[in-house]
Amino acid sequence: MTIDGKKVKVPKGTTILEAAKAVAIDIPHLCYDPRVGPIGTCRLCVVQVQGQAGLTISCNTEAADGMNVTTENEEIASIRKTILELILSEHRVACTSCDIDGACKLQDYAYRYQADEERYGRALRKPVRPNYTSNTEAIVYDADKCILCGLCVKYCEEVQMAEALTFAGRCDDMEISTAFGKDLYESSCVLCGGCIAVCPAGAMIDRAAIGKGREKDLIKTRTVCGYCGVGCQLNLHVDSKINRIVKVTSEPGCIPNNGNLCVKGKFAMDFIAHENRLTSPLIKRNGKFEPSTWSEAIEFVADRLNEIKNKHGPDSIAGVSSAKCTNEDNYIFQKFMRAAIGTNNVDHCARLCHASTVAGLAKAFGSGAMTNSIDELKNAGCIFVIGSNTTEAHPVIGLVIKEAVVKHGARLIVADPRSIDLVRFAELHMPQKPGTDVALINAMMNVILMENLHNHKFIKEKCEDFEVMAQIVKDFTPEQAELITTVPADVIRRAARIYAAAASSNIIYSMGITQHTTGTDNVLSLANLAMLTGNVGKESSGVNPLRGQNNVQGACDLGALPDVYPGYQSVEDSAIRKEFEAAWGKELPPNKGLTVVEMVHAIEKGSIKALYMMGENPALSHPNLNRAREAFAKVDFLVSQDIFLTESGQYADVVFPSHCFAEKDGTFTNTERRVQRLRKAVDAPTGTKNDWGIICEISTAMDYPMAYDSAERIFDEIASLTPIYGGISFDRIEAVGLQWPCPDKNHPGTRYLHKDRFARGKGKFHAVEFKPPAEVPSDEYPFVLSTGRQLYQFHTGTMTRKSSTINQVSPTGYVEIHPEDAEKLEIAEGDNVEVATRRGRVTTLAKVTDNIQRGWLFMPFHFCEGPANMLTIDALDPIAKIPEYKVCAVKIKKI
Amino acid sequence: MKERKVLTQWMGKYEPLDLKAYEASGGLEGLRRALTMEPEEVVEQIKLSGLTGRGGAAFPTGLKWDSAAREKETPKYFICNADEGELGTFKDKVLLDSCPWAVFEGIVIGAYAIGAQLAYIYLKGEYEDTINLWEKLQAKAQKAKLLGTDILGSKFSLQLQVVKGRGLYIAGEEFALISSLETRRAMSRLKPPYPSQRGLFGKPTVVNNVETIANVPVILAKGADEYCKLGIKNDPGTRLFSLSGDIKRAGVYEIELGSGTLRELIDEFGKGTTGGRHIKAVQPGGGTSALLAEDSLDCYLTTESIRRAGSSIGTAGVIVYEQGKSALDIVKGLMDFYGLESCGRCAPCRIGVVRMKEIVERLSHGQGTTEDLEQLRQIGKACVATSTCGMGQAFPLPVLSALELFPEDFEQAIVKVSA
Repeated sequence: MTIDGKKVKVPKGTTILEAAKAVAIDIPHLCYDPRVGPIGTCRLCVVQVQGQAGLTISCNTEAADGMNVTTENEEIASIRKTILELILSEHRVACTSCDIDGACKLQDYAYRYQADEERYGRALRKPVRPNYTSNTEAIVYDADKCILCGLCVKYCEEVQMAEALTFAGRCDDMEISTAFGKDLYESSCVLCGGCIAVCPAGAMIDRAAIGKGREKDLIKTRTVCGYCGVGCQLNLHVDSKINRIVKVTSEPGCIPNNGNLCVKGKFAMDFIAHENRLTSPLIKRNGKFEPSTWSEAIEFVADRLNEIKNKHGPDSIAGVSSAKCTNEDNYIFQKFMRAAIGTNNVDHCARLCHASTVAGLAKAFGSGAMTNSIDELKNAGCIFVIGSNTTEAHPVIGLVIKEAVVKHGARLIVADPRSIDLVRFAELHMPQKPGTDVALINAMMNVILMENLHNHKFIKEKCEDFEVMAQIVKDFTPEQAELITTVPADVIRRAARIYAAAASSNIIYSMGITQHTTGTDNVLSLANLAMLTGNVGKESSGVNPLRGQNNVQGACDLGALPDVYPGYQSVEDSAIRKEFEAAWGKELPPNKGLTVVEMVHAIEKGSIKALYMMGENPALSHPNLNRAREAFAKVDFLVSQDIFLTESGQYADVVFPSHCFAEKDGTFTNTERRVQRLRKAVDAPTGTKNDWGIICEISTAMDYPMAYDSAERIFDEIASLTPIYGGISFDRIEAVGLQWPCPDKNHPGTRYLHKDRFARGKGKFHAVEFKPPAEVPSDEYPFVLSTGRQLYQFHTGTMTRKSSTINQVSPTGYVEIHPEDAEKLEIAEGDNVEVATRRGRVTTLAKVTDNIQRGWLFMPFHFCEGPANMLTIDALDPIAKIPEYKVCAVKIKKI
Repeated sequence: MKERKVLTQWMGKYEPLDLKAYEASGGLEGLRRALTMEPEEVVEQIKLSGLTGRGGAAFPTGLKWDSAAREKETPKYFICNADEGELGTFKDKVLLDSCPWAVFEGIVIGAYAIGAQLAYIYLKGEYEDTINLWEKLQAKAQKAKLLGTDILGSKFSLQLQVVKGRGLYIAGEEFALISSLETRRAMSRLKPPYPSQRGLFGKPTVVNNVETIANVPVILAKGADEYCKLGIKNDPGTRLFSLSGDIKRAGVYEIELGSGTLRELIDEFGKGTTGGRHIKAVQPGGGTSALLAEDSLDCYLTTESIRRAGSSIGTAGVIVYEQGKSALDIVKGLMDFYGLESCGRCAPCRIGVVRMKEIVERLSHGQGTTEDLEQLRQIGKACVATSTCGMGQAFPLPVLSALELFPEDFEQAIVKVSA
């Protein structure tokens, strides 16, 4: 086609507006966003198409072969000017005090067409009246500036699918509102801030950013979000004069989040400049923390560690690395533990979330990570979500799943004890009893085998040990599974058929699968299911564990694990060990180290004397907290390196203040194995040091000198020792991250794993039989308790609970209980209740909801008041050593 | 000029709900024939008949049906648009009240033709008696097995829902009506996709005006060839003209297309102006059609002839204004109404309609300026050129035509202020 005389070639389905964009012709528009379908409300994008009567709206007209388009002539320019002048007559022009001055589309076009803002009368300030955002901390809606383009409504409906925003009133009185004008934070809004991002006229704005800086006042830094494992690309807008992050945005088109954010990435950055940030090392003397100098603290820690090492041996020291820290931090930490201390006692919180994934998928496939990429979800025929509350724990991946279902016709099956948000979009919901996943999956495989829906060719050519697995499931019928899981047999049958029938089926799972004493079994079962139907090693189909922390994938990749060096290379393999000994210039221990929960148990036994914690808060995140906290109190020497004095820090002998994600350069690896660049946006508080820097100083003080002048130098060392990262370097990931494995400089990275063959050679089936959870309900403890996360909080709340936006919607913890159970126990919504197990008791608030089944309870674990982990059991999966956070037996009563 | 009662043939002959009498006088014949045909053949008959929409846009009905019938998505829906809201238009009420079985029959045939098993009639909320009548009719039809399964012994099944509108002008626009039926806010939508592709609940949907539908049983009973003998080539059939304004006898008259001129219609059926003065201007197609001056009234009553005269046949709501009335007053009356009725979707219409209303008010109060006239023209032009739906494209037309035909009426209003 031809646009303004330029020849353009575009794929079928491209609109004229998009085709023009492709050749850098900007057809004016106020209501277009690539993430939503055309709205066509501003009418500015009209063009002249040769041979068509009248004007054509370019955002809703597909480009066609031979089309000849004129994007502007005198008539069109005059009409655009009139429309802009009309819009300006209802938009209160207040550019002088407007936050988006300089980044305002309306302003740009008004200037371009020299629109007279008073031509049709000046829009004046209307009498101030409260609206649906007046009481909402996060967002302000200014009806006087709203041009009613409807982009926010459309985004809310089509991308976030929250359907919180709508139009109200007509003509002059029209404005954006919620249903019945409810306060935004009490509506179905999830505070993603998408409405702010798409608003072309400054009517939706960040409340916290008002008056804090315009486009020209702020410096924008592109980096990676520090919350969950999705790895959203953020732009942090910083006022450099006061070193503060003013607001957060993202850009449509960026990988992996396409400009979409969740409430945490958008609104929970208050912690960075929080007054409680640590600004000096602390040494505990006579039970009280006293500030110290860096040199004193470093020397003190080095001396104590040397002393303990000399007296009790290197294996009496253990280190907990951090999934919040960068790849470089983790690499240095494990190098320090292995080379400077001389122990493999290094682990991190992946043990508590996906250890069973790493173990299970390695056994079955040979590699323990997401097999596919996030964007492949869009084209999956079937998505089977089991044990993942995706829209809350990985909100931006939740958006992709919803999009796959609503826009691309994917069939969604959800297996979750609770009616999570995704159930709204699902064809089937299987609310299995907590801890019965193997029974459910085995029964699905039984159906597939009995109905001959399995992929014979794939099994024969690419897998082994099929018979062993088939032997176990062939007699395990859906009826038997119904007795165990409570899911009706016919629902299991239907789910199996849908999963098996789709051209590409994608399993999404998370902690609902892994945090069990049968966690590894659960993962192996899912691997069985995928291999049985040939759903591994191809586009849009695979087994996809969603990783919880921003860099939990990277912390695992970089060997913050007791059994492997960076790149999952076994510490027990002498050839590999020799390679690392050569690179690090030190003899390394040949035996596997302890896992985090085992470390706690070893402290009890007295074999661990010192514990170094970098960026973790086990005194709130560990299971069976009473026991864990006793251990932290008991250990001879405890170091905490963190940005706040956490619950765990309180037990420490020395505390080091460090940098948060926005103050660091380096890399994070997201859940889809994508190594992404993290960039420093603000200066860290004076008195703090970066994580790898602190470790290097201690190491040097312990006579194992380490010094690097930048994160990039560390990364180069990582690449030289870690084959899966071998081809990655900072310059290659400047614009977009690369997915490992990426073995050499020319390798494009790997979208999905096991393409031609499994990483371990053949995919291995495992015979997995159902085993009940470690603790089942009894007369005294009749309820099953599951713990987990909610949208607004992250982990132990150290960061999120410092945000006023978050505190408004998620002020404190609660326990979910079914209305019938609540009625029997005379518990009403909001009542104070006591929840108790054999290990501990907590007081919290009751949330009565039929999202949960009778006899089951749910508690989020973020809250230090009424901490759920006082209740959880520290029974471990025998292989992965992951504790069973998802099932314990409890009693509940009103107090 | 004489009336030609085709659609209104049953009017006054028997009690409107009397099904037996309707049948006895030839009713249901079209439906019976249709059910012996394949749905595609029914669509073909409508295409051959050349029937165009009577709700204002004059879109070929056969094409609409064909498009919906070809869609693979199911279920499909057939909607009778009985939300008659255009100014000066009240002909659908006559059909709904006096010949309801004919309209009903057309709905069933239409649903059969496109493959819909659920039909809706969306009735203007103010037509309370009509709503009561249609609720009774629906029950009777159910009883007579004209609704439900296996209608008239065929394999065709249909349900009909009678829905009461909520008094919004814009709900008469097809997408706004669909939104309203979906219990959403009545708002127009971007096209394409058209309702026949993605309409009610995202499914293929035909929305037809009452009068359009009333033609359907006639076409099926007579056959398209015979029907085409009515009216003129390319514009067959009759139209129900609603005659109102400054005339002695208002009413609804069914006229064969091309059988006379606009002047004849006004003179012979309207019996002269109320004040006995000459006619100043006429809107031939409802409140959003352009004004025609007295010297343009000799156009024939056909879509094309009225278009050539400078206006549109629209809803065939003929509004007559006599001499002595200022064009500014005419326009003010219209803008007082339309100024509140934009659905708010498109910026030029939502804002333009209000600004134009304000300017017209200003002029009426003798506070206007020459600049105001230019503004009316510019806003009007932008709305017409860029709006999504019929309202935004049409409401400025009477204003623009008044400015052109009667500039002195506006200039006088301005002169007053400087004098």
